Amino acid sequence: MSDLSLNARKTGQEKHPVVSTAEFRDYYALLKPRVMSLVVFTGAVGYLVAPMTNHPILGIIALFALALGAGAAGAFNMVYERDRDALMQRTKNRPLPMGLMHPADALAFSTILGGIALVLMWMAAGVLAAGILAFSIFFYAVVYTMWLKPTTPQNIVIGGAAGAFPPMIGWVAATGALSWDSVVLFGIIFFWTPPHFWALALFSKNDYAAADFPMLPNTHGTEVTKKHILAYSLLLFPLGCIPYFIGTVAEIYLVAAIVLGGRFAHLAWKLKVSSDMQDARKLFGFSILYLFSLFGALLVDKYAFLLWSTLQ
Amino acid sequence: MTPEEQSLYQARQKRKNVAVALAIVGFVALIFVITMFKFLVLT
Repeated sequence: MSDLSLNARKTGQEKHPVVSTAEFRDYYALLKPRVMSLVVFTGAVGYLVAPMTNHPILGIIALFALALGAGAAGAFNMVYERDRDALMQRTKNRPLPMGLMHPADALAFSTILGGIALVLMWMAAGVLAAGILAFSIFFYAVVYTMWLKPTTPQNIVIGGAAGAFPPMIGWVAATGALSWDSVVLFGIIFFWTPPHFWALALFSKNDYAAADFPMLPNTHGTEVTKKHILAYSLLLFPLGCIPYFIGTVAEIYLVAAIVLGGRFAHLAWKLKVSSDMQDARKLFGFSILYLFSLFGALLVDKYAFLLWSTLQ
Repeated sequence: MTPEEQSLYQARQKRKNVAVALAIVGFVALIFVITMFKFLVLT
């Protein structure tokens, strides 16, 4: 690494560098790899749980396109929020607030990546999957990042839709059509997103205040946020069970949905009656485990059932 | 721009050009592979 990039990494002072000192890993960081892993995982589950008609090779390319699309949206988000990111502890070490690359480079990277993602998705999975991917990128970049996030404390409620599309895209990539099963998977992530982000906003309250984002704990206080978290957690419990009742999956999933949904609601209740912010961290951590486990249970159930049917 | 920055800039620019060229070739190759796959395997 050069001295210049070392300086930029140390000080974080250079906002628009004359010389871009960005390395490969900085462009990789623009893609928000952790968010991308969740997108790819839920998209892959949507693909694998659906009654597949598309060839698996094309499915893998469609999931790759989904990952690129998510990365493009994440990169755009980082370009637009670079000034506010510099004010938050959680985000101040991102490549743009650190001054490691010019925003125009990051914007070009995001735009080209988004274009490649859409073309690949269209070729591998058809126009419907590409259309939903295009809408989800637009929703995240424009509706959520540019409009809702800086203006309303309900930002994450509506904006959560952007993160809920991947299993639907996976489903459409596998079957070529939408179905109620995919709408339910969308709904699970849509109702999971607010309690997940509000738990984060509770223990990052000062951070969000510094960046002047109107998150619910900052605008309406801690108690109102805890009530909202509990309400959404209680809604999530029955919603998580619906894939069983509409016949997408069977009993293995139902047991997992009841146990995980019950624990989610229990942690939300504990947070509601507690004054310890550690409970918010616990709920935030569990919410990630919840989503991975619930979608993992969809896969286990589907393939255990297939294996059982084959052995019979 | 200092001479040190100038040479660093040129080196970065060269790397960026190579990366962009590789991305274009990779993208075109992938489109070609998908088209051939659909044409030869799926039809």
